[in-house]
Amino acid sequence: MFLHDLFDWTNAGVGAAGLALTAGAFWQATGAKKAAQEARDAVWKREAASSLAEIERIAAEFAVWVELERPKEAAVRGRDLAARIPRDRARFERFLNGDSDKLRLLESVYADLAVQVFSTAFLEDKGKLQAAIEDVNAANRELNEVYGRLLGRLDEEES
Amino acid sequence: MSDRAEDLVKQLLEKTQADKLAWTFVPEAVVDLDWANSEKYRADLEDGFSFSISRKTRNDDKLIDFELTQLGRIILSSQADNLPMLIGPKTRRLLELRNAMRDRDDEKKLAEPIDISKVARFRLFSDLFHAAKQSAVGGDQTIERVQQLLERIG
Repeated sequence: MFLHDLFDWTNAGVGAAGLALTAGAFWQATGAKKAAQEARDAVWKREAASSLAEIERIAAEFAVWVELERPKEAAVRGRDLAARIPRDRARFERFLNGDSDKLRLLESVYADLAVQVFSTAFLEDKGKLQAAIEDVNAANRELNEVYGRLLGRLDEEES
Repeated sequence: MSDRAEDLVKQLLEKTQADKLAWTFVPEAVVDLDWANSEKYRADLEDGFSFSISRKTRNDDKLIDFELTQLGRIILSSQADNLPMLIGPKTRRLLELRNAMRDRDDEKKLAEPIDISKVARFRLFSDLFHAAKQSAVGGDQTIERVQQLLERIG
């Protein structure tokens, strides 16, 4: 009788230990999955920052070619921007928070400017040229702010 | 980086925009075959000093000459151009590598791959050229007058 109770208790103990180990393994697996998801998100955010850095570089070149009164080179950069911004905006939308709409606006500004500057007559008009330079620089400032905010969020998450 | 010519151009631009300095169109006596078009303006000061700014163009290429002369003798001459910065594939690759390094190292983000001084210099000279042209031709009514003459012909 005593031996039978001892077996019962031992079985119950082994069962409880097994359950605890299973629960521990489940908890660890959940944690690992979450960590993997976070790591994937971090890589995507880095990719988004890298894409915005490239867009920022093209925008800086666009401003330079407008200031140098070279319509063909400026128009190429403007069209690059008008093509790349919607692509990267759609790709990284979930990391852009409220800046997605701002990028949509900038995309149309660059597209309009690319059409406008592709005209020697336009660049010969001092008033229009000055307005285009101011518009490009204002758009680039807004783009840099979007890029800066994304980097800021990345820094906060990594610190 | 600013030089003596840039300082003078800045002062002339301010004075021209404030209508304190008048410029006149100067027909080019010598044709430069390397350039398709040329346009020159001159402002005279006292004691025989003159400033001139001329712009030569060929397609999108522009070369702007600024000169200070005294009684025909050139005292100071300076140029600005908008010619593409000559970046070959190797230099482009180096810049891309440097950009990649800048992304990893925030301190290097201040490095600037574009020659901003060249752009600023061209803008300064071009602004003076446009201001001088505006001063010389002012509210040019040539097209309107030609239109009126054509209408008068019937």
